[in-house]
Amino acid sequence: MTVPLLRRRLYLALQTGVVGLALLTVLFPFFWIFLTSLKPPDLVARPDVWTFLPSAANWREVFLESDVPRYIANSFLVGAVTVAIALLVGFPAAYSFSRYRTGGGLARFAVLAAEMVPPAVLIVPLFLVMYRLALTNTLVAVIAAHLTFVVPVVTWFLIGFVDEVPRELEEQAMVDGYTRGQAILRVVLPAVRPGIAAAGIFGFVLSWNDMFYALILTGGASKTLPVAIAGYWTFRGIEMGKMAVAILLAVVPVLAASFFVQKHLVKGLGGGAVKM
Amino acid sequence: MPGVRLEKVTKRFGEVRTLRDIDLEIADGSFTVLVGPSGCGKTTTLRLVAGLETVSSGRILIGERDVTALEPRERNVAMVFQNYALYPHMTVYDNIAFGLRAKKMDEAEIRRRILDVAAMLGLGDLLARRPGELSGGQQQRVAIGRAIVREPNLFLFDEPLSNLDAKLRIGMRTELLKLHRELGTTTIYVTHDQEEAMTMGDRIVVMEAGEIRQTGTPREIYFRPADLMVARFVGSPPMNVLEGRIEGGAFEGAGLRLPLPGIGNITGRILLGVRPEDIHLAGTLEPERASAPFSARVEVIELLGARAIVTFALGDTEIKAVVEERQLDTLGEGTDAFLVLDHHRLHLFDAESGQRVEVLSGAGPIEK
Repeated sequence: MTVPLLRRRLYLALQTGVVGLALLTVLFPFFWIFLTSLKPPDLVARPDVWTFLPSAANWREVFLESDVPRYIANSFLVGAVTVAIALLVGFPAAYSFSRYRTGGGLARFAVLAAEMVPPAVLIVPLFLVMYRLALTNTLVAVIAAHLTFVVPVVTWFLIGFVDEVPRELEEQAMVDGYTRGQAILRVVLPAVRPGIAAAGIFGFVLSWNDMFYALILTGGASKTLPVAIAGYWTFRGIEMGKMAVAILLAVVPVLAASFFVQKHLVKGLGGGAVKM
Repeated sequence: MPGVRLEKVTKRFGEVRTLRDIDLEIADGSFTVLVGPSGCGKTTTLRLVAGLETVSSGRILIGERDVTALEPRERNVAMVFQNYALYPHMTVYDNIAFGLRAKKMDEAEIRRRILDVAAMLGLGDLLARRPGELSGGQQQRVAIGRAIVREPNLFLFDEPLSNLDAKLRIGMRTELLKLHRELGTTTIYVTHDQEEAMTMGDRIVVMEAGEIRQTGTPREIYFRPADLMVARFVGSPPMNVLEGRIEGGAFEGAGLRLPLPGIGNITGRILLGVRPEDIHLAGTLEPERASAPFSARVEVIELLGARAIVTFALGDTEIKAVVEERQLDTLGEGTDAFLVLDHHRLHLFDAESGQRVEVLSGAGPIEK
């Protein structure tokens, strides 16, 4: 074997090794959680046991005997409403930032500043406001909290996509007999559809994954799924098996969604940054 | 078909004045080309007519109607952009139909019109496709089809051919002109390409730095440029300009002394312009048109085919001449040659202002 060929193979092996290690780090916890979810109740607390007869007990209990389905519905509702509002606000805002340079580059950047405020700073005033409005323990409170970080992200995302739509498309529509508003709805909006989908899914995932705000602002029947997952950590110990099931239920939709929009996600994250 | 009139139109973008006091009259049914270097204001002018920009001051009339304050959609003009601006999510058919649907025309009529236009432009097979599946030339046709299907008062073209390759571009020029003859719609066409302007326009408007330098037919622009900028901008290779003086009825400069009959009493500093095709090898021009012969060194010969561009050195000055290929055998790079200028085709420009000095043009081809 010649030296360059050997070197190339070594290099390839090294690459594969590094990528494999990274994948292992990321995927192993999921694998372990999956195993745990299938363990019979007496083995749940035995991480050292790898071979066992799979049991559906945990799954059955979570689905049929717990309130988790309701919490999933709550999370879903919060995510959907949050994203709907964020898109309604974010798309016009993004259009304005992109086309009219509203507020200049600084305002454009300031949109993201909201993202940089630690949630702990926002939660106190948010809680007080919700308390005064008697909205604590309602989904409205969670939605309001989630909007504080989903709207900026969605807006930022869409700026990049609107930037990529040639101005001439709207101008053409305006010369062809449409108002600017009609041109936006009939030409720009369809052209950024992939961006809307990606921003929407990304915003949904952010809302879906949030535990901090939801934990403080909700309780009882208004809990969201992440709060419910944390709830398996009880004073009687951690109900590992059921928790594992709930975690998988929380993770799978996110994974699926990310898979479908990964290409647009990358574009969206970088998109707002160009053409400052 | 109505014409267009711009009256004292000024456009500022913030502090920058892109157009100043433009007065322009575009005749009914004409094909007017706005040409100039980039940033000269030609596209801004077009966009003002379309209503995509609003004037800072002045008035714009289409026909007798003052459209200055009207929205683009109220002006009944059609525009073709450089990048064609086809709606990517619509089929060719829907792209063409889009403007008609804005008028709430019934679908049967829309269909009839689209089929007509498709036949005219050879788009019949493409109607179900999306813009992304078309070649550049096909996209161009769709954009043109979308403009003509509306039967507008006015066509506005913003560098429509510059995204096409050279061969396609020349073909499309002819097609656009044919289309214009057929439809007779007043057309304003913007380009930075002087050759395109010359071949397409029945009127040319040369612009620079937000001002109109000259308006005229292609012949007027070429043979009687109003100033040095126009003279240098139009024509390829560009006009040779020699700096010098006029003393005692003769031009002195670039190491030459050329008697100029009929120069009258002009004296002082002057710029002498001569186009490359008006420099001839001595003995090849009728004697009554030829200036006194002078000698120049052949620097470079660039053969184009039937003709060649020959660069001569006149002392420190370089001049370019267009020479017939069959006359080349008398020339060799590094040797000297005797040249004459065509008296009837010389241009004089004021050394300070660059304005044309009308003296030698009397015998030019314009008057014939």
